[in-house]
Amino acid sequence: MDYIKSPYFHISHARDLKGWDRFIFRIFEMIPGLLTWGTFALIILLSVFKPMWAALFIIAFDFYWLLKTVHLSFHHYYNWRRMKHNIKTDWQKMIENLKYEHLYHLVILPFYKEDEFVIEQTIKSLVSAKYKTSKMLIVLAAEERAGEDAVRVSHRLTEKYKHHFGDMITTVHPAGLPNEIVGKGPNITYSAEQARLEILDKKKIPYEDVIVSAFDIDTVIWSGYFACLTWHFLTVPNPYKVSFQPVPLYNNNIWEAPALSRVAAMTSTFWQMIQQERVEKLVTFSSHSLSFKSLYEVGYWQKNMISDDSRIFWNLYLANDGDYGVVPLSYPVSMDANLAPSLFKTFKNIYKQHLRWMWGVENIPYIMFNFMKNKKIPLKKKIQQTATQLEGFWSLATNPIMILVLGWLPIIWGGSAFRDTVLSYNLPNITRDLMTITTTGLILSAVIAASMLPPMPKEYKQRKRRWTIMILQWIFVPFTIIIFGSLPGIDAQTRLMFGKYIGAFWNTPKYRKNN
Amino acid sequence: MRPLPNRTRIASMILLIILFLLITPILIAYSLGYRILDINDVFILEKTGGIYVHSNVSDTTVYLDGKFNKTNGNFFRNTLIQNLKPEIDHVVEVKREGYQTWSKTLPVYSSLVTESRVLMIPKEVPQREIFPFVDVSGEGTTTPSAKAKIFKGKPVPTDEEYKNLMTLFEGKDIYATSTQTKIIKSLNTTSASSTSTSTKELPENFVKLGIKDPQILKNLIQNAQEISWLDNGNIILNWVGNESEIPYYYCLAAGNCHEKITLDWNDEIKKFDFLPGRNDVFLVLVSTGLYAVEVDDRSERNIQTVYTKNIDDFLIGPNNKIFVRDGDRFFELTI
Repeated sequence: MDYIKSPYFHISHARDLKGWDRFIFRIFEMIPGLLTWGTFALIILLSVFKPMWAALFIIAFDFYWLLKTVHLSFHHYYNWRRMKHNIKTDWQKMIENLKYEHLYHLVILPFYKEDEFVIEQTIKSLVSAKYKTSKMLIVLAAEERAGEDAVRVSHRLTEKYKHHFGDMITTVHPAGLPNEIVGKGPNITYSAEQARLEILDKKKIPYEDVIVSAFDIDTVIWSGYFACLTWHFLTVPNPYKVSFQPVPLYNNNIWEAPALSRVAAMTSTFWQMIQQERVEKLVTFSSHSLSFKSLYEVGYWQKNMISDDSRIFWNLYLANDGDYGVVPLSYPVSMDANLAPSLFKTFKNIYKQHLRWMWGVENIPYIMFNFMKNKKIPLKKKIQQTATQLEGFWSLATNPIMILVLGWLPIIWGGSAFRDTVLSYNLPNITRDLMTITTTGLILSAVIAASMLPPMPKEYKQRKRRWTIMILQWIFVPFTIIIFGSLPGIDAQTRLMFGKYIGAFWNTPKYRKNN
Repeated sequence: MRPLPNRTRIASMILLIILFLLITPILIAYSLGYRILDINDVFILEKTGGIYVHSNVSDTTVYLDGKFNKTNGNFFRNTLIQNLKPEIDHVVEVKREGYQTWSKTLPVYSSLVTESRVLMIPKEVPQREIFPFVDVSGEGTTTPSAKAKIFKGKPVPTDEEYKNLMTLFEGKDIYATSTQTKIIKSLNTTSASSTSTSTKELPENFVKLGIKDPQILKNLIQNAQEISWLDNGNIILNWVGNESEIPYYYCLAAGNCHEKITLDWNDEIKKFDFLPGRNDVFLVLVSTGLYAVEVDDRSERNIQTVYTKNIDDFLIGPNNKIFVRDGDRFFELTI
């Protein structure tokens, strides 16, 4: 764990460095954007000057996309089966065979100005967990900058539910602390430290016996979550060298959200499900769990950057010289799909939320730079991780646009000499046929999505129509992957390329019509 | 249940990589036009060509070399015929009941698509007569009412459309009133494709064609990038746009294009214009009637009958309507 002492361990951006280091880091910050814009420029230039090459590349790329879809769908389907199996599994019975009484679950629930109803639903789900709640330590992490009302809500709920748990406290993260951005990271770090001082140290609970779960405030856990987490914690070879990742299902308010929001939310869930079967590519995202010991050793979550959820993984990966991973729980936690009082606001919020997620690209220069500095990580691992991250952000930003938009460029800009060729006539036909086959994968998506839906609220009318829309909504996927996938991806990478860092964490408003 | 085993994942990936490596070259070869053709019971790999037929007529049946090829519906009207052996001419016929058949012999070149566009005029072109007078019931009639005004010994038409057409065909306002003049001016300015060349400065395109005085050219028509006129009863059509944008009908094959097309008719062409909405079809007035004629001269031109009487004149009126003048009678033709 020597690398924790490195001056580069908690840097956020190039501006934290000086001299040559700063220059190198800036170059690394520019790489994702350059790759993305370079790809677009290359296709545009090829379409104008070498339309035949561009057309052949597009056909080959379309076929690659089809095969990639098959590959990912296979992972998706497998994870769906595994998740169904894990939901049915009696995890409490499973852990009965193990020694687990010494373990505590520290649950951190950071919030800003979310409605009391939303917070209470989350706490209620913890109360009703099939696990000894006396072994659960709850931290309701309020923000001073959210105002007195938010703090009052926190205290009220703490008093109301304290007796259910081993302990429950409210922490109030002071506003305007130095070296912090406005965001979730500083709050959960502050609350984790407060919990250590006020609960763990006072009760003399060993840090290695505590599993921390940092949940977004809309995270409604499924009853077996903590038993499932405990079983995994006790059965992995080294629980201090791994984080634990559930599958975020954005279905708390899924029946209330508009179709585009549902598709965007479910697509995010599906991506996480696929990643659960590709462990080497899995990085912590949103609500996640890990050992308090590991967390404490690296100084909790970084306070100076947005993507605290994924950065904590990279902090631990570097601190452990590459000997750190993520255990996919294949067990769901329910969260909110984006929903605002108006449709436009909902779409705007989805974009902003996805921009924040795509801002995770800020980890690429961090890992590339620190891989350069940390000589103990094997080169193979460095190359694999860098390539995985670069490919992931590049493909998310470029591939949908390449397939759905840029594929037409050779025909439009290729000139009459190209337009007269058999290739020019075949390009749209072959692309259409390949994409038609590819979109049949959406049938699998629709089936899986339907199987994961909560029951439709009883008071809803026009039930058949709602179900029909719930199935047909998948035709929006080509739009959602561009508008809420590629565009925020390009936006984030371009900002990073130009050093226009996102300075504050945009808190996704939680809105439920029924509250 | 354990995560997907690595061995299964790797096997799946290897299988897909093999598929990619095997199928991509086939897809690329296919997209370039490569096909295995059965020639005299010998299968050979040939780089084929194709024919693309644009059509604005729905529900057509397409024949290739006398054999049925496909039927088009209302939505998809164009036809792409692929897998054709190159360096051989193919006869494409497009038929629809009630329409004149379009037939074209087209060359096919390796890995290229020969483009063409059907010309299919209804066998019976719907026509509407515009009468000079309106009777008491509001119907058109050739008989003037007793109250009709007389101008130069003839009753003055009461139907405005008829009067406008008379003026359009005459080129002057013969029953001059201030309101009519406005209408006529308006009609003239909206005329589809014909433009007057009374400008004093010689446009660049005319200089390019070596024309010193466009005023002396008969029936001069200037479209966006094409200039045409009548010369000794024949139509001369010139492409004056960019070489890279030259339309297919100027080209015998890709790279073998000529910028001038001559339509040499047996009879003297009295007048011509472009069929509304088409840059590749002339409406030609000869002594035997009005015909639609393809510009495309890669094989024998399709000539289709529009109006078969010895009419005096025709013009493209407002809203791209075709009007013919047969003596004192006017007809609107709907193609």
